[in-house]
Formats: sequence, structure tokens, C-alpha cells
Amino acid sequence: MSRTLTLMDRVRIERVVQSVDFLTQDIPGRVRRSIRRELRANLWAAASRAGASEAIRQLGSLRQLAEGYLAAEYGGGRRRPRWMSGFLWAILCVILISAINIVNFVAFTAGVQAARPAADGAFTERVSPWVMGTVKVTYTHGTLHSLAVSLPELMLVYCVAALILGGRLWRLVPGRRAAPQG
Amino acid sequence: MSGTGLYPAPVAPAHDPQLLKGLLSPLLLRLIAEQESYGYQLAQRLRELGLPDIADGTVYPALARLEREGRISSRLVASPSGPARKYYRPTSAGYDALAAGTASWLALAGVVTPALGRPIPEEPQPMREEELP
Repeated sequence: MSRTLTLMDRVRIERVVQSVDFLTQDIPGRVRRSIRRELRANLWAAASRAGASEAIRQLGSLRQLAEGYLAAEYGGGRRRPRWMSGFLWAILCVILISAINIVNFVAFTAGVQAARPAADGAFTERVSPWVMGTVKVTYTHGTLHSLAVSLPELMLVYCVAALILGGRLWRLVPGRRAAPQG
Repeated sequence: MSGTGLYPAPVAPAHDPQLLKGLLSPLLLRLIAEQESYGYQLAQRLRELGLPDIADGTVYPALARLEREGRISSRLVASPSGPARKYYRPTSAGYDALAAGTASWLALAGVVTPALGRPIPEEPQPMREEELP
């Protein structure tokens, strides 16, 4: 007997499809589109017959499914870099370091105003060269006149490192072979 | 208890996934050779064949591998309910692989089945005297 899929069933199926797609991001886009299309059609067929929960249960481990697709595509061959993951990690790195520096700036100006309510002149702070840049504020009779915040010089290094590690860019190096897949 | 003495009779034996892994390709080729099918349909047919524990997630990558190896070809067929389904059929290389896989399995089964099918003795026979150092 064929069941009609509810909106929730479709959402659950799509979540599974997208999860497998994320886990197989090493595979070229054209092949991944084909995998997504086929997986979606199979899950729809299974859910129409046995319900969405049973269809997803019968699929087994999504990680193993993704590993199966990766092994089918590459065998023991070289995999592609994960550009999307690399850029996401690099953006996360920028957001994290920026957040730390914003907190540092707010804390520093609050400290200056608390210590000298009628502050006059320039105040500079640099707590850690590793993750924090320089904060320079100028006060005129207790009023913030100008501010300058520079991000740490090493920020670029961190972002490049995040891009390389997150994106597995070493896979671009010719001659490197991935471990054989089971 | 079975007639094998110390060993209880197996109850609905689960299929060893590693053992099945090597046989999945010829099994799928065989099923596809019998009837053009799509992924979920093949998983269902395997369950009906006597492999109730097989996960759909084992079957789909195996089909992807067979297609990548040029042993099966596919075509999209519109479905009355839901997205178009990908139906598979063997290529000539697939028929060759099926014939080779079948012959290989039958030859192996011809050796293994009689050996493992014998009753298991309760005790191993003692070492013969002439084998003593």
C-alpha cells in the first residue's frame, strides 16, 4: 500500500539527503547531484511503502553510506580538497578573532573611563600579540574622541592555516595517495 | 540441542557483513539481469531473497561502484509518486562479471559447503602415534 508523504516526512528525508551530501563533499558536484537525486527518490519510494521513519532506519548509518559512496568514487585514489569546509573554517577564524578583539576593546575603554572619568589624551593597549591587536583611544575631557583597533598581524596566518586544515588542501599536492578505502 | 553435541543449533543466523560484501556485486548483477530495477527495489528484493538485515545504505554505494566500473547502466524513469527513479540494467561487461562471479562462487561453495557441512565432532581426534616426536 502506498502512503502519502507528509510535509514532515519530506523534511526528514531532505535532512538525510543533505547530511549524506555534506559527508560526501569530497566527491565532484556532478556526481553528488546524481547521488542526491537517487537517494531522494529511493527514500521517497521506501517512505511511501513503509513510512519515513522505517525508510531512514533501513538506510543504516549515514556515515557508512557516505564512506561507501566515497569508496565507490575514489577506491584508494586521491581525494579532492574540501574548499567549502576550508572557507567556512577560515570565516569562523575571522569571526572568533574579531569577537575577541571587540570584547578587548569594550573592556579597555570601560577600564579607562572607570579609572579616569575626565581622561584626556591617548591610551594604547596591547594584551597579547597572538590573538589581540592594538587598541588606541583618544579622550578629550572624558569623552571618547577617536578610536583605532588593529587586528593581530598573525590573523592572516591563522586564517590560512584554517583554510588549509579545514579544506584538506594537502590533497592538491601531486603524488599523495589517500589510505585505501574499505 | 542439535546432533553436534556441545554446539547449540544456530537460531536464524545473521549474515556476516564482511562475507556478504564480496558477494553483493554478483548478487546485484544477477537481480538486475533478471529484472531492470531501481535502488530501493533491489534492496527489497535482497531482503525477500533471505537477507533481511541488509541495509539500503549498503546497496546504493554498491550500485554506484558497479555503474562507475561500467558493469551496469542506468536511465531515469518518472515515478507516479515522487522524484524520478534510476533504473539499472547490466552492460555486456556486467554480464561477463556476473558469469565470472557466479563461476567463482560456485567453485568456492563446492569446496567449502561439504567441508563445513559435516557434523562437528565433540572432541578432536587425538594425535596419531607416528606423529609423536
